[in-house]
Amino acid sequence: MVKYLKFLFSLVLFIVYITLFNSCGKKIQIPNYLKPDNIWSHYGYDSERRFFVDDSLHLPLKILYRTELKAGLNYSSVTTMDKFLFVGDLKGNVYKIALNSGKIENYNNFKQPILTNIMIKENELFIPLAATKEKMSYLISYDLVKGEEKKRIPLEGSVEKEILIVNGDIFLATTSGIIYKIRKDLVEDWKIETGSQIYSHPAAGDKFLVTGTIDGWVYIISYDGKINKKFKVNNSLKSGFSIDESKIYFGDAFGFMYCYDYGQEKFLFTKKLDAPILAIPSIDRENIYIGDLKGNVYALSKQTGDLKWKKLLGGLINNAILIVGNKLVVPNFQKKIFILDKFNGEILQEIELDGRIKFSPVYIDHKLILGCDDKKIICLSN
Amino acid sequence: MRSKKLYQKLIESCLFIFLFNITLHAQFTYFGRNKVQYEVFDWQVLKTEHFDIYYYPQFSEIAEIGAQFAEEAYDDLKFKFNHVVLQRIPLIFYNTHLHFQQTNTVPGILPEGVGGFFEFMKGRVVLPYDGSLKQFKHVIKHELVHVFMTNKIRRIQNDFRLTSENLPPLWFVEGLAEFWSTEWDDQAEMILRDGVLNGYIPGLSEIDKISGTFLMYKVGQKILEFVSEKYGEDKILLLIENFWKSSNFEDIWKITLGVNYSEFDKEWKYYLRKKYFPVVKDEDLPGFSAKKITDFGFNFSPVYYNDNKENWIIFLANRDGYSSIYKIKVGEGKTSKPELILQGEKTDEFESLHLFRSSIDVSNDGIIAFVSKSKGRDNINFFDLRNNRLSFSKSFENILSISNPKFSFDAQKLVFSGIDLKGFRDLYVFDLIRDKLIRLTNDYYDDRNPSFSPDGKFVVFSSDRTSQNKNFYYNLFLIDLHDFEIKKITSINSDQAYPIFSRDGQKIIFTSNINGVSNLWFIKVNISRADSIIVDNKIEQLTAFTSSVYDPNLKDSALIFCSFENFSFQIYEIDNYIRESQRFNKKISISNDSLRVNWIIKGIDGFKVKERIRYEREYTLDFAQSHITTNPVYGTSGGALFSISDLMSDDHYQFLIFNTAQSRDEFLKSFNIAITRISLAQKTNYAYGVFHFSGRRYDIRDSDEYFFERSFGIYFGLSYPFSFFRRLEATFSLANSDKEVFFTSKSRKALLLTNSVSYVFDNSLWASSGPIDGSRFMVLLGLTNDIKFSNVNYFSFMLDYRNYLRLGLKSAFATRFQFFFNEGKEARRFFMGGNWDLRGYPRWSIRGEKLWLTSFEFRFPLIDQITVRFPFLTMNLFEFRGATFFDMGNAWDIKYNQTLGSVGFGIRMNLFGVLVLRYDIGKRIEDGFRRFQDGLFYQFFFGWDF
Repeated sequence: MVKYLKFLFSLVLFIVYITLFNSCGKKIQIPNYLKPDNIWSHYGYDSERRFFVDDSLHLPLKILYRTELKAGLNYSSVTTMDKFLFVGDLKGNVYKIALNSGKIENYNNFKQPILTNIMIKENELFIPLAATKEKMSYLISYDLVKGEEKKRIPLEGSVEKEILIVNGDIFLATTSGIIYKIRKDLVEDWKIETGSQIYSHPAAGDKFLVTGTIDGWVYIISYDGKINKKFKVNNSLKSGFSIDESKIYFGDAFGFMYCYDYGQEKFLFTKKLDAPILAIPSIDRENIYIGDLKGNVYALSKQTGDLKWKKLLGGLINNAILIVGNKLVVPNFQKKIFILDKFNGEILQEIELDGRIKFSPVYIDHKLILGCDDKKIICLSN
Repeated sequence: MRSKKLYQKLIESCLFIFLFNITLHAQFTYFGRNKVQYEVFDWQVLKTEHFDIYYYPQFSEIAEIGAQFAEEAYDDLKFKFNHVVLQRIPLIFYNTHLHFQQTNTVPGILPEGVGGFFEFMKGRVVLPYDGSLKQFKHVIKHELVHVFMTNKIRRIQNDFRLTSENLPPLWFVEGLAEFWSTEWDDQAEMILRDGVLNGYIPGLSEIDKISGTFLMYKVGQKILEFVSEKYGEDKILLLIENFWKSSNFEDIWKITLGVNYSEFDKEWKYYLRKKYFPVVKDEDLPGFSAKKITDFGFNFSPVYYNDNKENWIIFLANRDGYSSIYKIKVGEGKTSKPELILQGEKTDEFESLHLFRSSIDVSNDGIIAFVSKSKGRDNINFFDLRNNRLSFSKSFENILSISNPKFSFDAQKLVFSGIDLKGFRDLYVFDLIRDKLIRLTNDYYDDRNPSFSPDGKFVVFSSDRTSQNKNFYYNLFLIDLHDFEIKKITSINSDQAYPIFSRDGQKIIFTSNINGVSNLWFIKVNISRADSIIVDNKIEQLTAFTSSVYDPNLKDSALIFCSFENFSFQIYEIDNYIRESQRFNKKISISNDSLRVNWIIKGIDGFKVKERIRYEREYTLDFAQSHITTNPVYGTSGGALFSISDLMSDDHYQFLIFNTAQSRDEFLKSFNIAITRISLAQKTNYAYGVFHFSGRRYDIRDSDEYFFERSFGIYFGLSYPFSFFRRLEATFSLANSDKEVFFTSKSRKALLLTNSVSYVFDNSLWASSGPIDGSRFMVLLGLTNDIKFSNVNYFSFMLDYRNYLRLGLKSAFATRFQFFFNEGKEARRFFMGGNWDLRGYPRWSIRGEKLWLTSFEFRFPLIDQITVRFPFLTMNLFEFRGATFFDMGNAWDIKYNQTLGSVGFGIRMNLFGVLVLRYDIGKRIEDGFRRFQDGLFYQFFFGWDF
């Protein structure tokens, strides 16, 4: 009997230890204020979401490290500042990962899923928490130096698509179709109710932001909350927007690729592709690059929409392509990353990974960072 | 003590299954029908980009087409789901439903209504082919929707680290599979129209009422079509992608669509009313504009017959749980009650009459031609109505599946559709006089519903050899029996079927779904014209029912047919169809030049094929289960059970391991292990294995002693099915047994050789709580000898007979007689007592080496449904059944003491199809059957009726 009780007691202690160990990582913190170097603070590199880095990518790429997280990832990307990566997972963990080694230095659990990018502004993290059945959605402002929450801003609906930081102000849209502006001082400035649902990623141009609803309405809104323009396309919008000067590029769920010139208030082109579009178009000096759900990659003239070339890679391309200099980094859901020549679509390298690629690639410090659905952050480098 | 005994029983139960040793648990689990492997399949594997396709060589052409369908479906579904399935998907193709029913990939018997399935354990998709490429394409895609949906949801659950393994409700799962795999067709339209007009389509709040039915499939499909139209098709994927947000699907529904179930139901029901109520303005319910001949059950394929005295309609029906052939007298404005001619599904010759897949015909001289399944293939049977006996049956060597037999007008020939080894459904004519078979067509087009012209020179039939934009349409064709030339009669982008000639040969009457549901139309022809048999390039409407019409048959100007109304298939008659057609005066041109005839379909492109190889068994885990028990008296024990099998589940290995040691030095000798191999690939199933069992036991089949036994040895069992209903079983085991009785100095060693042979018959029909028709029978002979020490030596005889006399649709009089006899040294005991046998006595309290039991029970329906509405929940409980019973029997070792008995009343309730709860009240008959007990006994337990 005594032996039995001893065994039971040890078992209970062990379970408690494991639970505590797993649930309490050291909190995310940095020792002192970081210089804003090596910043990739937005999904798409900047608020216009062009997914374009004017740098060179040297091949062949090899896997430098794989870092395993505790839960899965949504369609998003990592955020970087200085020598660190920040990423959130679907169980509400936010990780601070060393960029060079992939080692998880700290993580915090915020107990609600994170479906989008963690944003960074001056040593402050903005963590969007999606709503659950029991809890509402929040945007958390987190002080990286102090290692604590500064403020928790409640949101109606659920923030599941990417947020924007423009001149210190925050713009986001929730699944209930509400568009928010939150000022630098973390106070809600305005909100607009679209009366629909929003499942697309907004983008911000020169003094306006653009977003779209699931029933095809596009809203162009000035930073002071005025709806400057609203128009409807025939199909659902579930991908996202990218902006080049005053031109807004987006694709719909039926496979139409649009270019709307905000300055001229008209469509420059509408082009039908082979399959539905869930990815955001990437833009460089001449072209836009987009993938579809058939696994095609297209290079279209950004002025006219004319097809420059098309490459069938198979699988699904449901996240944004990254342009690094004269190469395209294409994340294919079928566990592969392709490096293409952006002038003709030639495959320069193909790497097979262990999981489906969920993240749009981030290129920083000559490293390419992706996330996969096997809960891993992968770093590729030459 | 009880937990240990029960735990031991659990392990032994598993072992019983492995061993086929019916003497261990002979009293409870030896009946059941047989899944017979009539064929040994020479499996080949075609590896494409995403699939491993298993087929046998004769079926290769259709398998390659199926591979192409699968890859196309994959490409389409990856858009729809925004997902890819990374694992290779096994697709197992069978060339007919007859072969499909032999599959071991699921353990149970597959009913005829199952068109394919996705099996979760090994992720297999298993499908039959039924002659129709259109249907094959649909079923492949339907099952792949399940694959994608399950894979995606599991991925989501994994990503969000959810512990639940819920899936969406069944209506959504099947509705989605239909919605994303097929168009809304005439059959679906028929069901929804009937449901709306007769008021039985539920909303989402009550959709559980139709769970598992075909209606649920179509209602689910229509709901999703409505969601797609009103809210957008993306909402359907969003319902799946939001699956992590709640464990309650209604919450997810509300989050995604913005409405809960009741709010949705208002919109949905209003939409249905708007859509379907106007239908009755121009179309009639069959019962209102035709004479209803039958009013109950599922009735098909009516045929006129006159025996020179009276007019009859002969038809195929299921009116009592069995598919059978009936006749009904008609004439002078009256119809009689249906009379049974021949009952199916009870004997080896008529295992199935293919109620939904075939039809019957009757010649002028009273011979009924009908198809039945017998021992793995179809036969055509000829039943002489005048002499009320089966004349003869015919099967054809290379034709597996037969349907729609039709006599020529002179009754000298019979034409039918047959599916051969390649899976092709083609037309055949059997010359009854010369006993000769002629094949009319030989291709992958689906040729069906053939019938002769009055002069016997032509056969008209329906075939899918017309297509447009990759859609196949069934149109009418005529084949000349002289030169086998095929001529097109109709070319419409709808489906035309069941063509029959009028007696004068000037019209062909047929069904067409050109207006949404299948109604009767006709076309004027002149078959004596060589250039063009069609007189007028138009089809003319004969009926305008709200529901579909099937199996038309003519007698002069009278027309009989089957139609769907109020969720059943009934037979109707129109006295004068010519007069009826003049009501409509509707004609449609039949020329459609955009339809291709004799389309060609290729199998999968060569570059998409990775490999073609012969199937070799690779074993993967089926299940693994572990137990830990702890008991203050017996201590702790633990173990595991796991099973592996090959992809076809033809070959299994099962491993049982547990340990009952209470101290370290007992560890090795307390190891219990059993390894069994079970082979199901051939007709004779067999199993063999080794075992070692050791531990403290109390066994109620032995004397009242608590003992330690160590036993090890080998065993072998086989099961040979004669047919679906009958089988022979044999077992053999050799075991070394060392027994030490606690608290005494008794010990016993033995080397036990146990043999048994048994015969089992079972053709019972089951209702919600147990059998209600048919009978079951088992007889066993066994011998157990200690061949080394002569410490054990007994023989066994067991007889169990049960009969169910059907009294009404849901009531029966059941009788049971059991006699179990063990005689010899250390003979095991049988036991009885409790709800499962001698009611009124404590469970298993009566034991003896001999046992007899007789039971009589009247089973009847009690309450059809009880609904309890709480403010937060509505509970529906269905099918409470009642029984009055009389049991008598006893068990004894040497001297028979007295007969025990009981009488009483019981209530049974089937809980979700898994368990039957039973409650009995009555009086024991005691004191040598002389008096009733004082008071009443009350017993509550679970278990099916005997």
